[in-house]
Amino acid sequence: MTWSAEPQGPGERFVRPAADVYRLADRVGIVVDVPGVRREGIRLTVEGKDLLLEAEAAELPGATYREPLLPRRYRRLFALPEHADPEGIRARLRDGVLEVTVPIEAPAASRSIPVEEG
Amino acid sequence: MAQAWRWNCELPSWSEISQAVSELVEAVLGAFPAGAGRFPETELRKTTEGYVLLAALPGVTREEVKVWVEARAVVIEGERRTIGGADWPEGAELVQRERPSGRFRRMVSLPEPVDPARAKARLRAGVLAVDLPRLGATGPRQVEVMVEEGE
Repeated sequence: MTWSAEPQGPGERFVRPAADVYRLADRVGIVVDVPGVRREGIRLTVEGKDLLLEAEAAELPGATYREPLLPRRYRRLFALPEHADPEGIRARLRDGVLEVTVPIEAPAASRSIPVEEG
Repeated sequence: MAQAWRWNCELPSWSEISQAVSELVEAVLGAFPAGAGRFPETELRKTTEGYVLLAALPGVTREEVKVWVEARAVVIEGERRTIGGADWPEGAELVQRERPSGRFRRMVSLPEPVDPARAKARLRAGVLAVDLPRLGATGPRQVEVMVEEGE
């Protein structure tokens, strides 16, 4: 994870979260580390062929001693796979890890076209 | 009678030393891909009673982490399994890997002594928070004074 070099404005500092991506025959899974984030702090948006993840960690006790680790704002854009079905995207959050699954529609099977005579 | 002699001791060459060092570094850090930084990331915060140490441990459960508290240091250690872990779908083909995986151990020094007996740790939403009350924050503690008898 890397902080953006400069603050982009008050509170406009984002962290690019680390992500693993796996692929199965019928879906693609994106697994993202978002420590400190609760369900209400997550926003997932499909923008054309991309999936935008924005997340904000909940406040924690204690006055910040040095560079604040949390709360954090995460932001990352993921390219959706070919033949992705945006309607079927599901997300699950557990212990600060978000798993997004994107179903892939089977490409239209080849179809033979009957030729009529006459 | 001057007898010339010399140490029969072969010093390792520079390349042997650098090879040994890189092997050591790899052995220590090898579990984590380059650029992953130190895992877990930690932050020490001041509270009214002392300190709270935060550690980002996404996906790590209570059983997978151990916390040791001493007066001037906290050690966090455990194991995080990402790929191939219990939640990893069978037969999945890995396309991209960034999340640090493997055994981890992190020691954090404390600026002033805390009371290990009153330390508490909780894990929530992938963040470990270790409460570290300052030593003697509840009031002065009586310490027995030993007197050494002179002879």
